[in-house]
Formats: sequence, structure tokens, C-alpha cells
Amino acid sequence: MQDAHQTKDRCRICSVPSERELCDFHAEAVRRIKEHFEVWKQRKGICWKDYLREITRNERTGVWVKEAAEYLIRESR
Amino acid sequence: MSYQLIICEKPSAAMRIAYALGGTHVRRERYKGLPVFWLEIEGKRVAVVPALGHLYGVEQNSTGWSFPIFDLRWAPLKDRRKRMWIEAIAEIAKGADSYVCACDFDVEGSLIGYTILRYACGGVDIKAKRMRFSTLTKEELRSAYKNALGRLDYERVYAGKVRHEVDWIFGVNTSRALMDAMGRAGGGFEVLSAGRVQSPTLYALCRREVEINLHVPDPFWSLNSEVVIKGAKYPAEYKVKEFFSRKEAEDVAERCQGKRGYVKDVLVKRKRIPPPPPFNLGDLQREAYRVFGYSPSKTQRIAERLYLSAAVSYPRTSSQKLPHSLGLGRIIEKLGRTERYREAARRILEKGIVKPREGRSTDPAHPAIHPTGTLPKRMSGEEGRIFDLIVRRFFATFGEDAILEEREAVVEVNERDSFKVRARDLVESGWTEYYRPYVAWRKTEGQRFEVNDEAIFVRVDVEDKFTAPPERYTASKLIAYMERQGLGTKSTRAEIIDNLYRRGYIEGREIKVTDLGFAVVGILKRFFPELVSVKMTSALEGDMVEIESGRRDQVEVVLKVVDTMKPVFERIIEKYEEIGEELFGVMNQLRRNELGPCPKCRSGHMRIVRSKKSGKRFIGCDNYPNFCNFSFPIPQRGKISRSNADCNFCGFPIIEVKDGWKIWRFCVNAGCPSNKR
Repeated sequence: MQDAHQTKDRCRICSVPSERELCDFHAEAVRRIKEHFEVWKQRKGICWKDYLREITRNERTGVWVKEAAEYLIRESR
Repeated sequence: MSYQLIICEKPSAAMRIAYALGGTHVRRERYKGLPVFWLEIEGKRVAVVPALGHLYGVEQNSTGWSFPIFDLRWAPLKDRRKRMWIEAIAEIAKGADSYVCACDFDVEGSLIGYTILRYACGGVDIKAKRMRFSTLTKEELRSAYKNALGRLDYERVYAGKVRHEVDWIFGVNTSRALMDAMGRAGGGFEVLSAGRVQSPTLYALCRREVEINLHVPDPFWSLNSEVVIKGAKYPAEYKVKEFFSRKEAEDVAERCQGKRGYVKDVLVKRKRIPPPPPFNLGDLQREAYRVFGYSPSKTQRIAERLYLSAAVSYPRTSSQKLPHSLGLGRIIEKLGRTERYREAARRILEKGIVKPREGRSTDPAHPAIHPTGTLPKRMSGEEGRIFDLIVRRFFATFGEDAILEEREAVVEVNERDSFKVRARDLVESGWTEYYRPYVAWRKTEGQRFEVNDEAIFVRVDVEDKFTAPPERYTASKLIAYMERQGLGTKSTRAEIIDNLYRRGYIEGREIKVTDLGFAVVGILKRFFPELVSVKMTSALEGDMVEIESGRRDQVEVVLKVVDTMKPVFERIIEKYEEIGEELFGVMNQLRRNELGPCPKCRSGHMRIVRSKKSGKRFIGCDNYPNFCNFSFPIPQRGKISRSNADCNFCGFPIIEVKDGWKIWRFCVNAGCPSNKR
């Protein structure tokens, strides 16, 4: 049995032990999301928030990217 | 009176060999549970006895748990029946004056025969002869007995011995390190496994999974168009395949929709498609997966059953060769006696020269997989399917080249837009006639488009598309990857994939790596990078091939492995605590995740939490208190787990509580009508 809701030193998305805010995989997902935003902005002319919403809905989006996008949406609220 | 002892690999093979050599005068008896077939060959008494695959294996020589460990010995396997059979064979061997190994003619078969002759029969391996055969047909077995090699094929034996010893050193030490480290960190006992071939394979799957999970799709647009030429519809491809602006694609679609264009140019190419080579094991596994959806291990099992019933040749081969000495004409003629293959056999034999197309791969021990001409009296549906696939592929190798005509027309419309229209026809069916229904190309008598034909654009739609992530491996693609990388052998690859499924490291037909698989690879990569390296494993496979061909010494290879791995394992001891803590954390995480994702916030996971105030347990979300306050009361006794079903009313997960023999199932949504009932 674990202590209730301990989040320190854990990835804020998947809760695996991590020295930084996000684990390596989710940090990479966030980096890629930011990198691809330029492409989406150019091709679809959408804003950051709509872009995040679009990629969370897209069935081709990778699981970690979806989780990272959902996290970024929550963070921006 | 003394006799000759013939050792076989399996009971069914022993029976076939006994009846092939002894004709109808075979006496069958059981000695301590072991089937023994007594017969006479040219006045000499012969006892044919089977093994049950491997009767001996590698184990620790000393007692107690130690790490790292390199002290090993060959000993009887722990299975009670196998031990009884070893005793029985040992007693029968006492009365024998000559010995023959008639196990399958490959590395494992040679090793099985050697270990029995050496350890159970008191070191008589040096006196033994070796029968070499690729099919269990009467003629080949008689010839193999008559022309038996005067000694065991020690090169193959040593290659097999080294493989087992090296795999044991890798497997036992890494698994012990993982489990011991976990135990010391207070994580209890968990069965964790890692292996010389298994780990690099799992690592390759993880790398692909990472790319899929990190894929960000980029939008683009393309045209989905159709034209009608001479009354026939064809898909048309615009000169620009990908548009990076929807507006541009829409402009083209608007310009071309419903318009009439004309065929400006037609390019006709004729391609000769040679017959496919005969099957080796990898090809058969891939084709059976494509055609029937059978997993590689299932195909291998079925092919081995067909081999044991003498219907096909030895399946564990990498050869794509069919030497003439196999009596190919006779095999075709025998197959042609059945209604099903009569027509194909007649057409091949009518040509006069029976020469198959062969592939490049070779195998020193066996030819490509081929039918023997013997039809088993009974076959299951699956056996029948694989048998038919092997027979038709065998026939196809004798066929002529097929000729495909590919026509590509350039259609212009509006003087500025051009599309490509492609059509393909089978002009000469050649070998495809023999390989139906496993090849889809057919001859069509459709009209052909010509220059200046009118083309009407009946559909020009804009399609929203996104870049796709890399494809997942299927078992068949994974086998091909392992072949390319030199991971494992033709006989072990399917088993290694099965093992990854059994351990819960991968799941699904399109292979997905589980959290446990990721966790194990993460730790291996960090602490045992040598173990996930394809380079080291394929180099070792190369060493074993060299042992098999007599160019390398077995002891030298084992010592090289010990020298490489000893410092790695010693380094691990220094990092025991670190490994243990990481494993403990990961396993805890996995256990927490067993209840599944939080139905409220979706990004967190449900976990069992104990209230600090009341001390009572409940289900909460691990995102609390940051962005989720999901909670659900649960009984204070019993083991909580997630059931496979979701609630029929609200779609929330169903949780199962087991307390002794009582099981409750309930939905984790407090407001769900199913809970009110």
C-alpha cells in the first residue's frame, strides 16, 4: 500500500520516478509537440490551443504525445 | 546376445525409423515406460529407442545461490518421465555393442543424441555412428542407415553445446541479478527474465514502440481521383502527391472535377516475375502468416508434425535449394496420384525437364522444405492447409516465369493538370497457375487505354491526411528482422517471440510492448547495455556457425563469453542497490497501474489509497491533489483487481474484489445505476 498521492520526484504525467518535472519520454513528447506546432500553424493556420486539442483527438498521435498534449492543456488552464 | 542401439529424438520418429528399417517384423515393448522397438537388420538384433527431445540440460555445478556464476555442468533435466527414460536407456545400452544416433540431423538433434550417448550410456559417443536424413520416408531412412557416418557430427554437437552453455550463462546471471536486486530493495520476489537473444529482440521492439508513442502527425492533403477511359474506371494519381495547403488541393479539385481530358502518353512495361524459391523455415512462417494468419511458432509446430508423418522434409532448414538427387520427378509423380494435384503434376511432368527454381540460401544439412510424395492418411485442417501450401509452392518452383504488363497513362486536363493512371494485367500466368489460391494475380481481358483516348474525371475529392507512425512489427515481420540481424537461429526465433508473449513483455497481433516490457528493457539498457546489443549477439551467432563448420574451438568461444561478461556482472554487484530501487519503483508503478487509468481525468491511474484520517482504504487517482479528485469507496477486506469488462451502463471500469471464495464486481462510478441496484 502506498502513501496517499505522493507526487514529488515523479513525472507529472505518468508518475514514474523522475528527477525532473517530466520523465524522459514525456519530456521528449513535449519537445516534439512544440517542434511540430510550426508545421501545423503553417499548414492549418491554427493557434496553440486548437493544435493541442487536434493532436489529442488524432488517432495517429502517439500515446505519450497525447498524454503530454493533455497535460499541456491542463497546465494552460 | 548383443544388439545395436539406435537413439531417436521423439517417440513418433522412433516408430517411423523402426518400421522403415525393420519392415513388418518389429516387436514393440515398454521398458520402464520407455517404448522400445526390436527388429532385425541382416541378422543383427537392433533396439530403437526414443528420447523426449532434450533429456539433459545445463545446470549449476555447485549448490546455493551465487552471482555471478559460470560453474556449470550437463545433468538430467528435472522432469520425472525424462529421468525414468534416461534410466531405461542406460540399462538397455549395457547390452548393446554398437550405437547409432538417429536424431534429427541438426544442431539440437545432434546434441540430444550426444548427451544421451555420453552421459546415459557411459561415454559411448566415441563409438557411435550418425544417420543423416532430411525426410522420414522409408527409402531415405534405409539409405541413411546404410550410409551412416562412422562418427558423431561433433562440430554440430559442439555448436549446440556452446549455444546452451552461453545462453545459460547469460540467462541465469541476468535473471538472478534482477531478482536478487529487487529482493534486496524490499520488493519481494518477481520472476524477471532476460536472455541473450530475447533482450536485443525486446529492445528492438521497444525502440519501435517509442517511435510510435512519440509520433506527432503532420497534416497534408491529397487528391482521391477516378477517371473513366473507354467505359472502365481507374484510380488516377495527381502529379503532386502531397499538398501542404488545403486551398491548393481544393483549387485543383475544382478545376478538374467532371472535366474531360485525354490520354497524352502511354508507357507499357512488361515484367518477368520468376517463380518463388522453395520454402525454408522463415519463408514458410512468413507465407503461412500472410495467407492463414498463423503465428510463426504454430507454423513450425504444424510443419514438424507433417515431417514426423513423413509428408514433408525436415522443416528447420534455411536452404532454398532442391537438389536433383531428391528424386524430384518421382515426388511430383507420387503427388499426381491424388485428384487434387493430378493436373498440376501432369503439366510439370509433360514439360520433360524437371528443374526447379532455387533461391540463394543454403543449409549444409538439409534441402528446402518439400513434400516427400507420401500423403498422410489423416491430417487436421491446419496440417492440410500447411501441407497444401508447401506442395503448391513446390509445384510453383517448376513453373515458367509469369509476365505482368504494367501500363501507365498520362492523362491531361485543362492543359495544366496531369494525372497518372495505372493498370496491371497478368499476360502469362506461368507459375501462378500452380500457386493458386495463394497468389492473387489473374489474367484480365479488360480494354487497354491508348493515346488520345478520352478520360472523364468522375471524381476528384480532397482528402485530409496525416503522416503515419512507423508500422508495428507482427510476429512474421519480427522473424524477418531477427533473420536480418542474425538474432537467434531458424529453430529458436519463433520460440523466443512466444516467450516474450508468455512473460507479458509484449501483447497483440500487431506487437505492442507492455509497461513491464518497457521497464525491463529500460533497466537492462542502463545496467547491462551489452545484453541488449544486437552486435554482440549476432557476433556470437557467427562464432557458433564457425564452430559448426569446424573452424572454431568450442572452449575458446565459451571462455570469450566468460571474459566479456564477468566484468559486466561484477560491475552490477556494485550497482545492486541502484538497480533494486529502480526495479522496485517500476514494479510498484506497474502494480498501481493494474487498476487501470482514472475514468475521470484519463491521464492518472486508479490506485488503492489509505486515508490518513480514518485509516480506511479507497480507490483514488494518482493525480490527486494536482488536477483530479476522483475517489471511490471499496470494501475493507479482499484483494482488489480490475476486471476485463467495462460497465454496461456508464462505461466506467469494473473492479473486482476477491475475499476467500466470494467475488464482488462493481462499477467505480459512484453515480452509476448499476451500483444503486
